[in-house]
Amino acid sequence: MARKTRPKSRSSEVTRRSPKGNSPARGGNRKPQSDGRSASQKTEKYRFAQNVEGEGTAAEREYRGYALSSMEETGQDPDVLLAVPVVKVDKIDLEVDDLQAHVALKAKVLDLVNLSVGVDVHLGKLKVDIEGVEAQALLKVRLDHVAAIVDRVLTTIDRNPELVESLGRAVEDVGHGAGHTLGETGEAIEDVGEGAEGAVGGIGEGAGQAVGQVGQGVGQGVGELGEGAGQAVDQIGEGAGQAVGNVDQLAGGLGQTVGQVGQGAGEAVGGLGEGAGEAAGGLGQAVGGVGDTVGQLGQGAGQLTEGAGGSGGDGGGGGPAAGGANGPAAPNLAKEAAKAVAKEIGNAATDEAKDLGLAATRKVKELGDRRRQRRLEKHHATEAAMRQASELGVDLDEIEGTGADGRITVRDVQEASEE
Amino acid sequence: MMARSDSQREEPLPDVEIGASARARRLRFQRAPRTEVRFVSGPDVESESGSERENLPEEVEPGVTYRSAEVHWRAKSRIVEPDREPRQKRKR
Repeated sequence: MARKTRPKSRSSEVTRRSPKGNSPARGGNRKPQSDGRSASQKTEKYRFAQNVEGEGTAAEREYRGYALSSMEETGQDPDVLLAVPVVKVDKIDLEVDDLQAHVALKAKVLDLVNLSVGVDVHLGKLKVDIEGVEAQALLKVRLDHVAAIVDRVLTTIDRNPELVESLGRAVEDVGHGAGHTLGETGEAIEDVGEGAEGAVGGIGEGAGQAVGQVGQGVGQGVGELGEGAGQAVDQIGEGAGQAVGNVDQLAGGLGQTVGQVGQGAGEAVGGLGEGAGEAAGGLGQAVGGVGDTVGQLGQGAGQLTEGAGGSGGDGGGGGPAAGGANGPAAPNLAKEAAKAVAKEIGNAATDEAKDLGLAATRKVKELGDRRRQRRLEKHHATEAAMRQASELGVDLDEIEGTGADGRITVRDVQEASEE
Repeated sequence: MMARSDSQREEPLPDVEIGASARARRLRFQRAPRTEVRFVSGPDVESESGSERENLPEEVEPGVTYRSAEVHWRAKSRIVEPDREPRQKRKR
């Protein structure tokens, strides 16, 4: 198409978009064409003098050339194509106030990669009278490039699972939050015990013991989780396995325990690659289960406190139950009842924590098995060879196996490492 | 890495591209427009925007009637991969 010479401008001055939420044409005679005819097919009346030549108007040919330019060059359409072919308006008085257009392509992989590419266009105040308008607009988005980047990221994660420690830290934060909440619950129960002094003091002790048992139970659960995760992650990398192993050692206090569950689970999940959300969700439920348990503990203590208040004859309940401690029979009764309740709660919490640990262990082991199987199928290598390759940082794709049926052996890996 | 026809091109295709053309037989601004184009980018992009005009100055004047005016505006942006040399073509 013969185009006139135009001075190229550095500025980006004009955008033509439907002014969303702004004052529309005032007194204008807006006539978008909608009868299916192109501008050049219409009668002379509707043609704009400078655009009538040959097939189609200049605007139509401009659009056609623009829309097809990338296809001619690549033979492929863009993935997203939004086209406003040619809009013709006889006359329009347009007033725009603060028009903003935002077009962006965003891609995110966990918390590791966050890609964003796009354009923000801002048009402040504009008031313009136009006659004989022809306008067209086109938006093209191509996803191949971004998809290729994301694919590379996922491949990198697959080969270097330790990269997803950041995910583990994120889950750990959740764990710390849960631990903090549990800690506050324990403190609240303790406050009840202190407030009731001798009479209800036993509640605090009982609750403390129960919470302690929750901690032990969770600790055991985490221990099992650590072992299971350690085994599962063992094939992925020793570092991850050790990190998960630390969970077991560090699972002392309740808050720390939950926090380490987060870290250990995060690492294990990260190492396992796919199913991260699923496993993390399971752990979230597990932590929720502990929260429920402690919640029940708090509820039980609260009920007990009410009972102690009632036995004092002062009619107090809940927080003011300390007043009930004045009753002569209250201390021993409340203490015994508190012990019994706390013991029951403790046992229940321990069982629940064990179940939590077992469930988490099963999930991690299942994911680990799946992952191991996939890697074995992919690399056609012995497990020992894969372990060795991981330790030595050798890429199994680069090795030609000398074992049975071309299987990669430990020796192959060692030789590749020495080269 | 783009393995397809990009390699045959001197310049890879943009990831996002937006363009608009408008022409008018008669055009008069009652108020000078204030515009801003900003590229959304992360972590690194190469971007370009610009316009071609005919019978329309860089900065329009309110009250002046412009005839047979044309504007072709285009903006494009592409993510730069870390291991590639960024080509800075940003015009503004």
